[in-house]
Amino acid sequence: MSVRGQWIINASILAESLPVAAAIATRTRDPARRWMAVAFASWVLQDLALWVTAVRHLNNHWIIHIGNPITTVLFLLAYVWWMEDPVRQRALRIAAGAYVVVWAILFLTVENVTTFSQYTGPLQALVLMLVCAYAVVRAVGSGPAPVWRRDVFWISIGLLLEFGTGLLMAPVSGMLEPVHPWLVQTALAGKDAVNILAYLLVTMGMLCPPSPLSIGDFSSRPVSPF
Amino acid sequence: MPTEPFEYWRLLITAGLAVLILVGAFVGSVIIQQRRYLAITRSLSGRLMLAQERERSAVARELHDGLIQRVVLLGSELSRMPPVAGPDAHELAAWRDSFRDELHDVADDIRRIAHGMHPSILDTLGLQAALASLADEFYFSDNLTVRFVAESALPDTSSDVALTLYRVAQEGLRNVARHAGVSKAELRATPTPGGIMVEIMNDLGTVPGAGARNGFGLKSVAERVRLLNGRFSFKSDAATGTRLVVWVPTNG
Repeated sequence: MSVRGQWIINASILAESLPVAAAIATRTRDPARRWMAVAFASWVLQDLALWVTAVRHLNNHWIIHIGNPITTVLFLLAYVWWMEDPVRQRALRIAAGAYVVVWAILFLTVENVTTFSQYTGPLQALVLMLVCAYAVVRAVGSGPAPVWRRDVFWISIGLLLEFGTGLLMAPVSGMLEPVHPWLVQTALAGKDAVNILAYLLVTMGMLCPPSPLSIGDFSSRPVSPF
Repeated sequence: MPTEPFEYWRLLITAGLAVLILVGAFVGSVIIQQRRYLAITRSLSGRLMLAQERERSAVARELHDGLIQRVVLLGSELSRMPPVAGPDAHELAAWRDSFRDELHDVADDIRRIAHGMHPSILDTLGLQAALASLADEFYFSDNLTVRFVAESALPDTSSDVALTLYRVAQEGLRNVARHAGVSKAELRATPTPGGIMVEIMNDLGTVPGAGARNGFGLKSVAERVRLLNGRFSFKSDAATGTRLVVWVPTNG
């Protein structure tokens, strides 16, 4: 990445911490938002670790690989609180466990830890995009408040953008690299720009007025991180 | 970005895995939920059966200790009535004897009903004696000769286990009497490690129809046995006859 493009990466990392800052500033008591803040905090920590290892010219791909299941589980646990009934809540908790198992199998068998993720990265993006898309569809079709005033809507849209662009980068880079290598850098900068927008949307969701908890029978209440 | 060329089959694999994780988790969650509902339903069903048995036992006790005693007392009072002199004395004495016999029959009927509701012999003499008595009863009530075999003394059990095995034997023999078209059957009670096995067998009979197989009686038996973590098996065909086998743990 050129020096000209470095500022957008820095801006993207900075924007990544905005949802955490929003959660702290609003002293949110909403468990879903708290889990979401923890997930973003783990991303910020990962980026700091990436930065520290990068300035020492060390391979830092392993940090992304190791952080993958942690953030996925945290996001899924946040979404548990946005599900209306015990079946869907339990389904997400089971999905979190199943994801860790599948990630471990891929990590130990086919994944190359010294380079970009070929399997677990796209898997994380696809799992979370499916969950986000489902949450958006449910949010549009139900709930006491208009959808644009609901945290789950903006946070899910933001995450869909973040994971969607991440998922697209591999095939787009693969297409551009042989014919227009310089365009790959532009695409990466574009991805960072979309990420900033995604984090702003998530922050917007974190700042939404508090909504009543999911309506339904909580046969087993999900666990709050705090 | 990627130092390796992008391959679409990798994306397909991960997409498949993603769908598999989420669908599998949802199916798993639905199964867990259904199992919980089933456990709740079964628990309610068990409590209902227990409550029903307690109610039956209370009514049977009330009949036995209250109503029967009063009817018997009434019969005794009639017997102790001094003879009446006069022109209608003979007629009155005949009426009194007839009324006393009728009261005796009423007391027997109430006793039979009370016994049907709750076999008091189970509480007083235990499961083995109760099963032997049940075998005898079927000869008088349904003209079915039941051979009762207890290979060794049955161990002491909780009243729930004893009552369940008694009801199983009762329902099994009732089925034989009503549907098998035979005059002989065998009731076998065997102590096994950790439990008691009760078998009801008859051979050379007709196969019970679908009504008997799917009727409430057998389902109720199976449900009772399952509530005590026991095992239930029912086989019936023209070649081997009918065989109902139930095993219930003694600590059930």
